[in-house]
Amino acid sequence: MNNQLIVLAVCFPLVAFAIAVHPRARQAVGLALPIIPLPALMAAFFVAESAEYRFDWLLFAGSWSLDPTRRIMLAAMAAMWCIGGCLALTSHGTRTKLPQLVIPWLATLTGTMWLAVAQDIAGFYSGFALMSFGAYALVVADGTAASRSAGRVYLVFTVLGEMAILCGLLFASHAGANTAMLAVPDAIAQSPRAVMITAFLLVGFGVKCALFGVHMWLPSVYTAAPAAVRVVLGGAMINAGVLGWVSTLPLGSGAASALALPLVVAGLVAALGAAVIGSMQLRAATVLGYSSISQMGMITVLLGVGLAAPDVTGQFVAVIALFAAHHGVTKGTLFVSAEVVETGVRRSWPLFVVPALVLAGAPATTGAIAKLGLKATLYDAGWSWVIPWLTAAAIGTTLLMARALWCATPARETPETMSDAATSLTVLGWCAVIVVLTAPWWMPSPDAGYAGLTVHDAMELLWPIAAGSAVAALLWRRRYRGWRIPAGDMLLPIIATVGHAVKLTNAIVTPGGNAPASAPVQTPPTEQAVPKSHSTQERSEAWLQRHASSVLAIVMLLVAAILHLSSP
Amino acid sequence: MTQVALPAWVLASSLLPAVIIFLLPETTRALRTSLNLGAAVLKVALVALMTWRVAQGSLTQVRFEMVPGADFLLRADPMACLFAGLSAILWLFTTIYAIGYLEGAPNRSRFFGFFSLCVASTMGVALAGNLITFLLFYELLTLSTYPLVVHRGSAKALAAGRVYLTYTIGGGAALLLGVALLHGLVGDIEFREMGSLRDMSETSWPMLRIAFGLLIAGLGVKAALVPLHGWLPQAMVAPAPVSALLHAVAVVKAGAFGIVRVVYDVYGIDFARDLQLLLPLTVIASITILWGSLRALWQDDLKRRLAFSTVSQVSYIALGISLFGPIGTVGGLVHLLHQGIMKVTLFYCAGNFAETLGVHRISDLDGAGRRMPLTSIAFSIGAFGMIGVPPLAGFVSKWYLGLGALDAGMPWVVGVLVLSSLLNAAYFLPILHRLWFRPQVAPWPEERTFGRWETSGWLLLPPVVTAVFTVGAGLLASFAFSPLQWAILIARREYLP
Repeated sequence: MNNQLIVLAVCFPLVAFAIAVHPRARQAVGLALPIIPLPALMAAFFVAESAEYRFDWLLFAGSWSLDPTRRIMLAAMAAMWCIGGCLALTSHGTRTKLPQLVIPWLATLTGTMWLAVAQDIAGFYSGFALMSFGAYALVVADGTAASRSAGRVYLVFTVLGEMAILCGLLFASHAGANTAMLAVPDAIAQSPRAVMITAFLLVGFGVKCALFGVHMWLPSVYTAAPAAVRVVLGGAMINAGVLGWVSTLPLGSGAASALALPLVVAGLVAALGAAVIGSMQLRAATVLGYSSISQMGMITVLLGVGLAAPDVTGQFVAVIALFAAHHGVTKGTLFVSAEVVETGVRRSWPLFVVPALVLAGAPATTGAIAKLGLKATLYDAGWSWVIPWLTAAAIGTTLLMARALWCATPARETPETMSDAATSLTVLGWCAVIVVLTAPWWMPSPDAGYAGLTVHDAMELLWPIAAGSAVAALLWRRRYRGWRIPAGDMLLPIIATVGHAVKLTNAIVTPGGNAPASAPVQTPPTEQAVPKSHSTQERSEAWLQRHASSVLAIVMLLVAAILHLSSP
Repeated sequence: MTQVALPAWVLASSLLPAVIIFLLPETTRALRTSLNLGAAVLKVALVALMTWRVAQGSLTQVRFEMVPGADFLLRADPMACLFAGLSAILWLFTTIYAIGYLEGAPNRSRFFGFFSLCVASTMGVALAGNLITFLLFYELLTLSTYPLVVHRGSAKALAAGRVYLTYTIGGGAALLLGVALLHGLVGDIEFREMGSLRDMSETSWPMLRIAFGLLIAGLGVKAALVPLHGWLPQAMVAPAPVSALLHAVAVVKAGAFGIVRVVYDVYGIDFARDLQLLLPLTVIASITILWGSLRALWQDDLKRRLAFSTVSQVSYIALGISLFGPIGTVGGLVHLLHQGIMKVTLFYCAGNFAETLGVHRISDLDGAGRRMPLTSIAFSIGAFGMIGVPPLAGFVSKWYLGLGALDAGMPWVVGVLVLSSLLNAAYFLPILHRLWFRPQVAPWPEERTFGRWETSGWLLLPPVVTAVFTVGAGLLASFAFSPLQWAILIARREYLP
């Protein structure tokens, strides 16, 4: 009975989606958003390890089951979808109209759950695509100009990422002659193209989890998306990318060790750079976005080490999964808290500080377990030189948290009496904080559960927090307003370059056509009227059309001549 | 109805209605409609029966001598069932669509007469058992579609018709020459699994190469291989049901199917490889795929963009065929069905936007998703399928094509597929963005209302059903009798003796 939860996890949101397609049922389904991920949450705890569902008719034969990695990821993702659903209800009417959110929400949720349980390549990729494209509609649900342009950038990166994943999975599936996810790492490890395939998958899934170099979409999307969407983006969907990484990359095999150092460096640059750039941002959501990039940088470091080093303790995947799950739950909660603080609820700052401390790695939290696990694994693998840099990044985390709180706090607080919406928002915030604080005990991971912590460990964890707080106090006591890098850092030059390239292409393809530069990426300026007769393409095609018959006639005469000459 | 005559019955189920419809007066709407629909349903049933029998392992045929040395041969084999099945099913929905589309329009007898004749020719192309019979129906198809292309009689339609005839007659002549050449070399050529030219001596190889070039050039006109594709975007002035017929059901598909027959059942894939004919085909198909997608980017007319998209997508079939190895074959064959289902959906929807709102240009589509949700959902599914987003039909094609390319040792083809998918995304996603995420800016050019539904029920049902097929063909790819399974069955027979 319990095992059927795995099927229910995917089918429940799917059925809700089908019902919500009818406009009259949409509002009612919308009210149920928080409970729709519950079967998935229960599945993470109650489904037996051995339970496997095979659907031979589904795509190229579907197979659904939950291994320990997926279990912890599913638990974290489902929890965040529940909290995000609650937030969608409380903030509904203020910003985003709920009915508009319901359809893409359920589509994205279905995709997330599908990829979380799918053990076949096609199923995993399908869920991933459903999630990625559905999230576009979530991002632009507000319909503001900012969310639309952020959505466009998101879509470009998503499409590129999907293609990279497709390449990677195609090559891997061909190398292993297998359609099971489980076979992918070995297939890559044994393929002569291991480095290329690994690179494809790294970049492809990296788009979702903000790998340095393809991270630029994230800050503006987090800033522009509705609050509830931020929770699921930063709390759940980002982990889909991590799950893609850990279930496909040949960790511990050393097959793609050429990528290890570049990846470690990229991770460190992201971990430290995002902290610096993030602390220059003006909106809490943007700062939290950069914090995600920074945290994912730490995961990237571990991933890079995993590509090079033999898996001495068999811990790489488990540690990464725990780190990602911890980050997802904490970051999702931080988004809720930031929303509470931003609405101006009095004395709500502890609501933000508690999860912020968890993220920074305060003792007795998942943050501590994740950080200590990370360090131990790096040490075991012989990459201990990385650890000081990660400690520096931990100082950066504290800095970012301080900055986010500073940005979220409104200039004026609301009067003592709170509106109903603010009350329910605050209650939700505290619930989320409780979820975060109890995470060491409920997260279904063999590593989780608060083990003994030495005084030395506690000091190791605490001094970066203290240092970060000190730096933050210094910086903002002085009200630093100097030079800053805009959200999206490398994105602006890229958009400018692409914009120029598009203009240039248009100039070549359609001389005389004055393509406006209003659409920087993606949308071909072609949609504006372009004098057709001037196009070189059109001209060549018109020439072909006029002369097709004569060309064909000449070809035939030639052939006939050859035939005649060659006949005996 | 004996087992032997089944292919003949399939052919007759649209040939006879064609003749009767021509004889009916214009005003007998009810009789004509029921005859059309009855024949279409009957054909689906007959083709289903035929497919079932073929799956059981029985090959049925009809043969008689036309002239000494040239037989008229209809035969039901798995490949024939593939194409006949696609055409029969899509013909049913296109008929329903056409009935709604031409409601109240003049010259309906003429239209439906040629319409049935066109499908009869397509069935002939599908069931033809030798090259001569194939050629016969292939030419008949050209002649029966011309009146449909110029149906509206406007100057633009007539011009498009002229271009269409120039191309297709020229192509037909090349094909005739190729067939004649082969006939001179070996006599009557029957389609046979694993090919029928395998045992030719090496001295005749140059001739066989020339013949192959002629055949592909002739077939490539209908299959819209670059640079022979020019007629297809012109022909988009035809009414929407005709576009559906051209792009998905009959004409373009007949060309692609002809290439399949020539490569597999005339030359045989092994022999074609030995003659080094496959790589040029791969290259031409790749160029066509990219050129079509590139050209589609710069079109604002919805049907024109879809037409260039067809140029690109149909070459996926030729690409799959040219990849040596069973997986590539599966990819090409399954795309023959998938492209049909997806593209017909898109053309139905384009027709719906034009008929209901008067919108022909992509830049006028803003906010149409709210006004016509079901049509727009169907369009979105078709578009995502074309891009190859899983779990839709297009993904299954692309996955097998990609694996086939790797199997054949041509990883660069994966690059072509990815590039084409990116271009597909670049020209389809902006349309979807306009449909769903932009508010309506101006009143619709010519809006018509149809009571309960967003448009006439006749027009709404076909795209919705084919959109469901698009999802089903992908999601249920491993189900018995799914397009994928049938393609695998054929590939197995083409490679294993």
